[in-house]
Amino acid sequence: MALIVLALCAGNLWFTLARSTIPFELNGKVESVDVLTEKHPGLDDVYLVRIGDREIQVDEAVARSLRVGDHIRKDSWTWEILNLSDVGTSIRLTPSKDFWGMGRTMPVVLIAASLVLFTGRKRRTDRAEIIG
Amino acid sequence: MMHKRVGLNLLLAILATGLAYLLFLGHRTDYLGHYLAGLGATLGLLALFLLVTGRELGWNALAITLVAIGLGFITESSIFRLALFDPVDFCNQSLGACVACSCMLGTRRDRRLIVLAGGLSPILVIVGFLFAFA
Repeated sequence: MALIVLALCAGNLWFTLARSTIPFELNGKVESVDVLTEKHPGLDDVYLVRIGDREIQVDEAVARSLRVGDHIRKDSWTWEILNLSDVGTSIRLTPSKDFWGMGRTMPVVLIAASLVLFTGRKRRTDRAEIIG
Repeated sequence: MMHKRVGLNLLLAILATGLAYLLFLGHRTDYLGHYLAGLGATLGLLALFLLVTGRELGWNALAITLVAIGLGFITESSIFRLALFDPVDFCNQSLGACVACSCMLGTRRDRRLIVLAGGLSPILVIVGFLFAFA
């Protein structure tokens, strides 16, 4: 169970970081930038960007910095998108508020789950000793 | 006495993790909503299992939790897929399911524990729904 919790916590951190595009290599023309609304328009909107034939979900800051028609280039694990259509300009990337929030919340969830697992295990061990 | 210790662990875990979501991810209350809904729904399933079978929660609890996570995947892919499948929502509701399982592991049929878990379950699901959609 602890491993599943760890994997889910890591998943949350990965998916929120991925939306910044920092981990990815990007190379191509921005074909489209779309906004899809969810439960709270303006707060949890989904931003989809198509670069070449690849569509990815990105943070609002990234989506608003990209223009349809621009040619962009970025190496993986770098913090800057180069705009080849406007030489000399680039987009500086930062992880979102969601990522930083997850960075603080996930350790709490992991610790809480680990503590209750440990106390539960101790409870079963104590019971086994009493019965034994 | 088991129900008191387990109940306390359960309430403390919900409080600590819920507060963390509110403090650090308060701008996205839907994350807390999914977490609480997953926790509540799984708690209900585990309480129901205890009530019906009377068996101790061990590997069966893990199986029930995986079923709950699977059901969460189906709902996130269908009725709650407003824009697209959100893996973060899925992770949060699955984490809730895992926390519920972690709290209940090792418990046996105990009337007061079943009442506590069974009573908390719909409250958490409703509160989760409100955080997610309100």
